[in-house]
Amino acid sequence: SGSSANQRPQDRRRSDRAFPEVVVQDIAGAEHYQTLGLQPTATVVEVRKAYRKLALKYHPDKSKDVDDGARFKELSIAYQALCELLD
Amino acid sequence: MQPASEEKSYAVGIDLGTTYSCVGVYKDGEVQIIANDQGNRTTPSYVAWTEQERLLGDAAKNQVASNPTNTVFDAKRLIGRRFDDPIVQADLKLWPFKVVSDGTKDDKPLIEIFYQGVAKKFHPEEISSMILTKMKQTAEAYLGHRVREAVITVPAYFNDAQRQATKDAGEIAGLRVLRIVNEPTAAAIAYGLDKSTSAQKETHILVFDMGGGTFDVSVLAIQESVFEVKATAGDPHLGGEDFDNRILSHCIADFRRKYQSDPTRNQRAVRRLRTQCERAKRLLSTQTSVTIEVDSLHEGNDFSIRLSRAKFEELCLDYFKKAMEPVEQCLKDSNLPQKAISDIVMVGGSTRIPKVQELIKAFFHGKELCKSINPDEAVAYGAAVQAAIVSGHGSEEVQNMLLLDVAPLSLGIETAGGMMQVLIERNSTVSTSKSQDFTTFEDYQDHVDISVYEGERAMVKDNNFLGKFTLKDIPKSLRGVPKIQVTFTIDTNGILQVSAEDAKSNKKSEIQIANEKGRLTQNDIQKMLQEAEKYKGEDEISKGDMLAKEELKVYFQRFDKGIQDLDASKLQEQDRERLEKKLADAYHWLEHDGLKAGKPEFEAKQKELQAVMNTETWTFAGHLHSALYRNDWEWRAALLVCREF
Repeated sequence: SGSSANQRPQDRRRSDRAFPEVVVQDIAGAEHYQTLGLQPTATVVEVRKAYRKLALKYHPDKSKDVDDGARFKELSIAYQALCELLD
Repeated sequence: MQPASEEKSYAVGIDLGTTYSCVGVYKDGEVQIIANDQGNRTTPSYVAWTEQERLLGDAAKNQVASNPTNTVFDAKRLIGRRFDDPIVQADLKLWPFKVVSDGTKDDKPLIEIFYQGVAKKFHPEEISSMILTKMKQTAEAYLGHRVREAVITVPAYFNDAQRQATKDAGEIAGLRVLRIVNEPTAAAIAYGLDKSTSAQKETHILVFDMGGGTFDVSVLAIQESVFEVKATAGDPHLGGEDFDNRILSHCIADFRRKYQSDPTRNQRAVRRLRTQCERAKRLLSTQTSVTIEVDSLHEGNDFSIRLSRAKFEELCLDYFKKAMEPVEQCLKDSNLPQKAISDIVMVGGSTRIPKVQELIKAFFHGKELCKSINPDEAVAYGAAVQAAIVSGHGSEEVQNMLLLDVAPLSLGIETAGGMMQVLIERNSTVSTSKSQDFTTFEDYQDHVDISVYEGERAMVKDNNFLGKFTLKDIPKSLRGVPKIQVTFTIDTNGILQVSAEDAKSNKKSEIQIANEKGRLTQNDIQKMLQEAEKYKGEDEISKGDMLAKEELKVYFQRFDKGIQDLDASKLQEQDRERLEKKLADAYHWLEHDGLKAGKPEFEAKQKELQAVMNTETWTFAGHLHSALYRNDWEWRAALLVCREF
């Protein structure tokens, strides 16, 4: 069937010869540090510590606030990205 | 805030196991593992239907040999699976009870039993709900309060459907399921509390959880009361029952050789033999050889075989070796070398097997294993702590704890060519959400089908289908132009929601995967709830009878022991004979008339024996009385048995 969703970056690669997803990754990298309240010089140990400290505050088990729940998701995404980057 | 009129209610932790279940509650600053009405801290995950009543737990397991086709177990091996699942098809051959397809496109398995002359069919969720009901009642009897909320554990490697179905089972049992927690994670909490983790430094532990039916491995980082799961792996169908089956096949082959006859179609024989195989396996953890014996097993032939520990290990070695793969995988996924693991925590009954311990020890170059926590109770213990954390009922120590669990499988959608595009990678911390942009494949395409899968393979056909929805009315344009944002959100129970939105038209479409595919609908659950309520009425009556009967049995045992413990100076020979005769008569009555008797008859019988005792001399009565309630534990067990709520 021709109705399956097609992944966008592959198409772009062919037509535009640009890699916007890489650019996005770079900006996001800096954002991730910010999300965790860290300087871009932070080590992986500091990243872990910061994440766990913030998780204790924003995890849905610790706060019923919907905004905090969304914040926790952002924290997790940032944490995971930085761990992959630094490990 | 709860209204002031609300009666006090506890949140419990339930380890719903394949073969045994266990319940715990966090109370007065500590976890209590609760014994059932038989005084056992774990309860067989068995449900049976006799001529008169439904039996749960020990009562169901104890009568399995005489009632094999109406005794149901292993519901956990069916839950959240399709009937045509190869695992279900393989298991079918080993179960004495009947399993059929529901005949719909979902191909759900149904368990068929006969009760009061009528065939009845149950979903695996309903069987599990009955076991959960039993665990709930056990907790209520102990607490003297209603229990309405629970944390239920599942194997870490359970997929979305299996988690959902377990949650449904909780609802049918009348429980609000606060959280579905991974078993090894729960065990890690038990370990962590035990170690008191105030240390600033990060430590890593590996939990090796091998129970009766499932096998999990998790690696966790623990730092200042935050438990973070780094990776999890496992086999949802590997455990003690597989080892029992190997011993069973070995015995059956031996029987065939000896007698040239095949007992496999004699279900009662197979069941009796299986019970002895399970017993032999347990004994082989502490002794080097056992004899498996069953009198008059089949066609009047007695069966006896000597089984050494070495032979047992040989029979199961491929299974044991297979268990090392997830350990390796888990270390790899968590990006840690073996030496980074500071403790290996062993959980589940099967970790008592020396060969299993030996293999994992060798894998970690001779590192000592942590056995300080009870392998049968650690999961329920951790679940009870998590229940306290989530419901906010725990002490300060518990309130400062946090559990960061992960999704065990990668989640994604089908893209052109049947490829799997992963949005949430396996071992991502939950809850989390992830968005990705997609576009159309053809010019002027006005809709896209979003098919959601879980699994690690590159092609969706090799992964597990979860659900499907369509985003319609996309403004027509050339291929590659529309921007469709797909968002995956996974909650703290590991349950998934998927949405798709067209950027230009802001048209949005979404599903909670839970509501799709083989899951029970809210309607089904309501119906089952009503059914369960009906049973509860029947149960209340028969439970009263059963409790009276159990109380009488306990009384018999004590009476017997009381007589045996008295020497000739305190009890004359003719009196002894007379009392023994009385007791033998009473036993005979229990085994014959007692089968049809109810609560009043049982109570009358007990009074009758009491009367006999009271006519004896004061010395004897005094001795017997103290013997009857000799130790505190027995006395409490008796109270538990007698208590009605």
